[in-house]
Amino acid sequence: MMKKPDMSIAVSIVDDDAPARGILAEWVSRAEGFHCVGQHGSVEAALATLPGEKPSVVLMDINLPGLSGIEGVRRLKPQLPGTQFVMLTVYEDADHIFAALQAGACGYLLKQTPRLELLESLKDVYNGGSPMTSNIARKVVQAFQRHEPAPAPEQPGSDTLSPREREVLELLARGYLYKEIVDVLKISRPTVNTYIRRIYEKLHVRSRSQAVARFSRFSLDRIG
Amino acid sequence: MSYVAPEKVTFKYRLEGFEQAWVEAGAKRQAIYSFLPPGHYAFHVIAANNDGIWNEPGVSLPFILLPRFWQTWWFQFSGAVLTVLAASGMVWFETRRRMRHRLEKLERQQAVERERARIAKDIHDDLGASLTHITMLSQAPPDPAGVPAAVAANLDRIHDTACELTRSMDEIVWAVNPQHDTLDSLAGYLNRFANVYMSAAGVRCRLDFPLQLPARPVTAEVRHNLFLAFKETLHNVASHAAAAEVCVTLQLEADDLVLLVTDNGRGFDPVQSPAGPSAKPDRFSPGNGLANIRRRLLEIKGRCEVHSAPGRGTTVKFTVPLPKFSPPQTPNAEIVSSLLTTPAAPAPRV
Repeated sequence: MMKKPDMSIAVSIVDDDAPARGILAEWVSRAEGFHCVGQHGSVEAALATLPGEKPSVVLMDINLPGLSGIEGVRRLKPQLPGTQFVMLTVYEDADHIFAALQAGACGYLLKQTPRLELLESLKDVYNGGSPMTSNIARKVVQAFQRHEPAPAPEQPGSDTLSPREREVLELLARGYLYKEIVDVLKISRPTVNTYIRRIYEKLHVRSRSQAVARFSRFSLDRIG
Repeated sequence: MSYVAPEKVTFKYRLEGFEQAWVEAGAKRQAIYSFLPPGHYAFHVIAANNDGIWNEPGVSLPFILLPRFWQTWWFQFSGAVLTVLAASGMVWFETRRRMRHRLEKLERQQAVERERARIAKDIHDDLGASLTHITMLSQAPPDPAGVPAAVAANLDRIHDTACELTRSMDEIVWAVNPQHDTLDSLAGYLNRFANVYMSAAGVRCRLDFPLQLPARPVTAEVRHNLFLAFKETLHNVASHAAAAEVCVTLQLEADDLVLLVTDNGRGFDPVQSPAGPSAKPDRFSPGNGLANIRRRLLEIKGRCEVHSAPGRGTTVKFTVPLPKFSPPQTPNAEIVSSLLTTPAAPAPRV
């Protein structure tokens, strides 16, 4: 992910709440280092035109009428593997956020996040950062433990955590902040970010291969 | 027979069909049988004269005792049948009544849950969106030069209030939504709150939560009260304890949920503090914070213990009894979860 730091970040927004979408678009357009490439009122609308905008970061509302933002990420991420999806939500519903991360998102922001903080987070995500809170880390650990027999033996290591990744995850689940992890594990901040990114990717791969396994099992059952 | 001394004649008698042995009657000329069952009988009497010589053949009187109508077999049989029928009928009726009662209870419960879900959704959709607009619109503009200081200050205040309101609504929506009536959701919520709140307060936060929690229902009342008590405790740590680190531990002990908040702050003397000059409402002095926390725990039949000593930090321990595990409470959720978990079993090797 070697992008020139002075490049402007292309942001696309998917939110059914028109006033909020307008304000977000205005913030992004007026901020230095950002430009807004698209606004969509629904996932259905975004599926048609968003891939053509080639955004670097997509701000995706979770609660949308029709297809949810989670479904939107699930469908758009394969078309835009280099694009970072950040979920927008009014409430921190851990289940929804976790489902979005499994679908391929790399973080979430509360809608009431102050403007400067929001722009800072977008920049951070664009530069390889991945925010993860302790309760989300706990859920991720649960997900990796629950299905310990890895469903994809033909590609070992693709969806199991390395010891170091596991260590970072467990520290996060125990409440350690990123800067504390840097101190404890004697690794750099970008390295922590890389680990978290990989954890998210593996979570995504894992949930996808589980969906495939579930499907093949289902069809096998059908065939008899 | 002897007529010489009839008062000296002695008798023995026996009721054939009822007894085997002879009954010595002495000089009495009476034989009394009570409660003779119906049947065929023969009454035998022998006598001895004043010389003690027995008249062995004696006399006998055969007779038949007819049964009363309630002693007939058909009456007793139909009586037994009727009793069995009546008993099983009562059992059946009672079981049905109980089942209907349980069904009604379940329906009521589901109606309440639907209503709670609707309220949560309405708050989320309607109030949440407008509040978001307020928080967005009330932020300091990108070019603050043209804005008078008083307006900017008011804007800040509006923004902070709206953010605070959004947080309170988040708490209400979480408590009201029946989807979160689980131990795991409670743990996740406490976990996130502690992490976010303490990192904002600049206090190191360590969390020790079990990874897997049993699927036990936790009512909205328990979740809400425990959360508010927890929040108040963390607020005390952040604003009074001068602690560098706080440790939050959640564990299950038998049927109790135990939540521990331990800080390494300055602590206090739990004995002296209330007795001392408590004109100013101190940290854990009566009337204020701790009383509130205690009241909240009492409402959910829990208890709160505080251990502290000056310079030794403070430990607050919440103990909340969990209701016994009752599977029929959420049959739909059970079915759904079993549907969801079955396909996740080791996948078939193709």
